[in-house]
Amino acid sequence: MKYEKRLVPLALLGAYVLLTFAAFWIGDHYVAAWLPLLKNETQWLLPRGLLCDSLSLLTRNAERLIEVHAVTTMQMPFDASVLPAGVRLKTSTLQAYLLSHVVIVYAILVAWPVTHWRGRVALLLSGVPCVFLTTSLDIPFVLAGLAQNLILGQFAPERASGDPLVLYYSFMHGGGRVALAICGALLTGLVVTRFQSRAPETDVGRRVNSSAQKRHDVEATAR
Amino acid sequence: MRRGGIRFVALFALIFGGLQLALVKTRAPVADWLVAAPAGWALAHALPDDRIAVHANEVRSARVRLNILPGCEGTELFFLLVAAVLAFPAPWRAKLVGLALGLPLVFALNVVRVATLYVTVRNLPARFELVHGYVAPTAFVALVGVFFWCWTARASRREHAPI
Repeated sequence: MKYEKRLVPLALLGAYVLLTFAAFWIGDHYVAAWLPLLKNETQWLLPRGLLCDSLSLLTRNAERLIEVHAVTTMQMPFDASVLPAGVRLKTSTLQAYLLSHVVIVYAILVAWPVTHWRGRVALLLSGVPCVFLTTSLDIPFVLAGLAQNLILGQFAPERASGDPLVLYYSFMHGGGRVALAICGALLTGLVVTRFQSRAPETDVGRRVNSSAQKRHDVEATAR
Repeated sequence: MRRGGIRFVALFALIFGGLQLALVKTRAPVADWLVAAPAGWALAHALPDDRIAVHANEVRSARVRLNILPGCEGTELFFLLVAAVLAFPAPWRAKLVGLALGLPLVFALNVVRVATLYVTVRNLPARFELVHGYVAPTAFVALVGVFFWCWTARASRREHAPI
């Protein structure tokens, strides 16, 4: 069991390094596979009257970006002015941000202590829907939020700070995506180890559970 | 279900969300004093020939201009640590120790992050994307994760020590 404890930080760092370099060198193909879905999700999130014209990968200032080209399909009235139809706008985010979900989720799942190889396989397979979910809750919202922020910043700056989409974009961009990926990976790990019914409890789960149980006992005694 | 684990994740998400949302709503200029100023100070001492100056959220020299934009302040490292330590079921004393050790570590890591970006722009501009986009946003999170793991091992051991 001691071996397991020592292994977790090493596995986390080792997996992190490998995944980061893999993401940098071969991440383009992975991100390209996401584009059709990202386009649909971004279109769904964009405000009414804004059409997602295209979503593509490009390199600017030596950084690889995911860029959305959108166009207004109708007039968008604001308090003091009107955004006419046919106006084109573009927003972008770093391709690396999309890849950070795979890196974080799989670094945690690779390091997650399991007692049998079947548990590891189950964890790694369960990482797929987890990454799918966390990425979907991040990148399309960021792209749509940037577009909304761009429009509101020009035509209704007083509304920009309170707009839910802009707030969510700021939340994600400011570090929310890391917390989201961590929570997703932890929940995946907890759920998978729960269903490994015969497997003994993992070390991280035992730490949390036994610590919580001890506190509960102390509270119960004090009462 | 491992209720302790689920409770930990829920509390962690709640505390992190609250802190992050407070920062987003207030738009506090944390980049200036929390990141740019200390990183500029450290760089000025490490690279005196560069004549580094800090203006608000910008670290500037004759060779490099590094703008720390909203979202790139690294505040999530602080929030992740605070949320994880507070959410973990440990005695308050252990939590205070975790924060007392962890927060200076996170502060130092954040300074190292900005200094690394500066040096990358200065000496290896072709590697800026790798460092800025791929390594910097997550490497220090992994290191904080290792610190947290070590802290939980200690906090759990103390919790179970015979009285």
